[in-house]
Amino acid sequence: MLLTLFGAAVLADVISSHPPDKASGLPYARPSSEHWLGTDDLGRDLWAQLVHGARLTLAVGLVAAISATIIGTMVALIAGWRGGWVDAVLMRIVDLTLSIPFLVLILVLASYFGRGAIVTTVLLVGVLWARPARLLRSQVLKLREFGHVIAADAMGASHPRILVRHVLHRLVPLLLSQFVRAAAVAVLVQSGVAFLGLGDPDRVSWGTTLFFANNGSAVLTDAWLWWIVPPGVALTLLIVGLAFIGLVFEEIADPGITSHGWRPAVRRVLEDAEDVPRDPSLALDIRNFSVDYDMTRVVRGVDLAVTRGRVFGLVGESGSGKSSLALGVLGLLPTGGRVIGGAAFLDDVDLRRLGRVRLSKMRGRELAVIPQAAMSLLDPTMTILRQVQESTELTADKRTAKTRATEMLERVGIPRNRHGSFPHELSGGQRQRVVIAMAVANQPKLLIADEPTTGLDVITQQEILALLEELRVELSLDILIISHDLPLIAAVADDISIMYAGQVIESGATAEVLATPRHPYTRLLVAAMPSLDGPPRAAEPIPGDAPDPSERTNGCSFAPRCPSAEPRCSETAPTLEPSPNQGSQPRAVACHVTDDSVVEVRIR
Amino acid sequence: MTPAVNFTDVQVSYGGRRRRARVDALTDINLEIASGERVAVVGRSGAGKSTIAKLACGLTQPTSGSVRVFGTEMADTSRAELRRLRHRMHLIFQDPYQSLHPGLRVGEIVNEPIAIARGPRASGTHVFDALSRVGLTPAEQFAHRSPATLSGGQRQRVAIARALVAQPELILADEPTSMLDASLRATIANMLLELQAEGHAALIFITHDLALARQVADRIVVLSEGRIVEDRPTEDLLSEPEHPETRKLLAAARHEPKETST
Repeated sequence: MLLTLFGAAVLADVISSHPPDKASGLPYARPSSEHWLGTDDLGRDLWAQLVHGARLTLAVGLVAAISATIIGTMVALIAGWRGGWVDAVLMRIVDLTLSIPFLVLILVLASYFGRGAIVTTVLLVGVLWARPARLLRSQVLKLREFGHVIAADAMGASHPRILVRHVLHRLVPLLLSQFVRAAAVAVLVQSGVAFLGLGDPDRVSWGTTLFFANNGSAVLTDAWLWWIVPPGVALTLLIVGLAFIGLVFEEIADPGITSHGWRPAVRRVLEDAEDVPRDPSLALDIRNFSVDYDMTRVVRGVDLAVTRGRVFGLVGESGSGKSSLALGVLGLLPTGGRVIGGAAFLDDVDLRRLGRVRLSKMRGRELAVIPQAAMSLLDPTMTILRQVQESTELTADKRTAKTRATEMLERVGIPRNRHGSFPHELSGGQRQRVVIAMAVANQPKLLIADEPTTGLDVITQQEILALLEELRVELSLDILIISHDLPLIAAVADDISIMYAGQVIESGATAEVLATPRHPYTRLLVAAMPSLDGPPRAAEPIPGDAPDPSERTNGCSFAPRCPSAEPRCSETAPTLEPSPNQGSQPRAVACHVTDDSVVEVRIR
Repeated sequence: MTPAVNFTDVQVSYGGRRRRARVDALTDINLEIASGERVAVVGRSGAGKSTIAKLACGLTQPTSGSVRVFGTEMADTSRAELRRLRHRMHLIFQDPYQSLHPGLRVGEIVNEPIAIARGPRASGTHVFDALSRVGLTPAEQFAHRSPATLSGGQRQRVAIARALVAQPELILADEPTSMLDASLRATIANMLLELQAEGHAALIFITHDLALARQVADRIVVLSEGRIVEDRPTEDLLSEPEHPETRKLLAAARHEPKETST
């Protein structure tokens, strides 16, 4: 669409045989094969005016937008990078420019300086640069703190190099969207000014055509149909087209602004998991649970059982599917994620079959969640008391809710004089305490905590874990704790499941699994745990990388990295099978090789 | 021989000129790190660990006291001199998702130290070399990938490959493994040690985890509230911690397993 408009402007001489500014026919002629859009009051060809007018309109728009964007970017880079007084002065100028009612200014100045296209362009640049300058400058400020920018600085890169390669490079999508926006404004203003009769009357543009149409009383005759409508439509198409391109660039600059969550239809497969008899000693019973992410299977038939009164730890490296499993169970998968099959029983209710409304009612009541990185997701504009109160209000009236929120905050160790604080005034550990207070505010039965201590230092980690343990006893909570940190899970969990590439590969009582790990992956993980006791030893990393979830093979997903892999391991995938146990908790391992050796031990 | 890094009576304060609004990030820091030495700086968050790294590469200036790197006083250096100094050191960050330029290919990122030091055209086969050495093979293939397609562990290895190309005499690693899984931690720690041994470089490893510090450092400096409270050889410090803060960190890092009723 835009290409057509630009094409028309460039090829104006070729596609219109009449000069746009000289009479070539009778005045007020209707459209004919000679004059495609008829003629105006002086007998000038309107089709020629339209295509020639596109030239000036587009040229002014483009030149103004390009210059404004370049100036704006320079100002942004200088202000954002230098900071200090340079920034302060430049930004005051930007504020001033932005606060001027620029249409009025242009009208006044245009009538003062004359009507030429160049004057209009210069005036447009004078007002249009400020918006991109302000927006880009805030981005520069943000980028300045980014790791790769600091890294380049710390490697001794020169400032121009950093600015061009590391800062400007990342501003490009935003820059383009700002440019497109500026072009749209420039075209509109230029046409508006010309329409008001302040344009250059000797040169054709859409605005002047409209101006003459207005003066030539086109509206009074049916000439408006070919006199006013075509330039109007062209102008509208141009603005809509530019706005659309701008949106696309904005989407690239900041995905999510206009994300609609489009997802391809996936056929749901529901297994008959309900037919299996239910074990009343289980707080949460997850069966054969599978989750897809953008058509890739990230959780593959996971079974997991949280026994009442015991802490359950789910361990796996990032990308192993542990968080997707939890989010799937909770019905909180982000766009692109989808539960494909399985069941998750909380008491006798299958969370999967509840439906969205009832499930969300359950969350925050029977079922509490500490989401990943929750402490950085607290609302910065609300006091912490107010945020905890949002939770307690789910089950109590306002006054009781406030009292309860106060009690909860004190219970998690935030003294009363800090309850009016905002999240940014608290340390990471304190923020995590607030999150915990919100989670357990309504005395839930089950708490799912996803990486509750990641990002905290070891001492704070211990304090948070101790708090969770106290609350567990006090409120008789059942806890499912998810982490990448095996030593941490080892310290707090009674039972453990280890996930690798979307599957549980070993599970059982924590003490047993750590003392006699049976899956090679578990063995290597335990060996990689750093130790503070005994003679110093080198850490033993696991060679290779976890497989890409989109490149699944038929065999065991750990086989390529496994020191004890056999040919059959890359042919068929092992399933999670019961394995001999010592205590009350069942053990299970998914490994061809270990199965055999354990069975041998049992026979002997 | 001049030490790689020398801090004398360093004090760093943030925020206003008014005494009451001022926050002391570091107080009375005296620290000397010889080339070839591996030192872990340990402490909880807010103890001032990262400020030490920032001082050493001149991203922060001390409020008072002197910071000398390779014998050069950081406060007096010109921008050009500072850039030359920085070619001799390398910084590795905590967050692998932020420390790599998302718009560049892995190969370009790894080549950056050379491009910076010798001009934009300079490059060589050592990019592939470095990528293979950190286990990103086939290197030719990884060099053309964008960081967005890599996992956290792979990104951190790209950062190490970049450091290998830089051949630094001083390595500053700011919690480079705290976002990684146990086995990846060991991988990255081992690679850092290899990098350090190769150039006989000084290593400053910043962490809150004493267990990890034990793996990489032969000397541990414990920071508490901006002050050095203990500075001793690793095994001495771990077997006989003197300061209460050290004991606290040690107990926390030990993760004493919970009594279980199996």
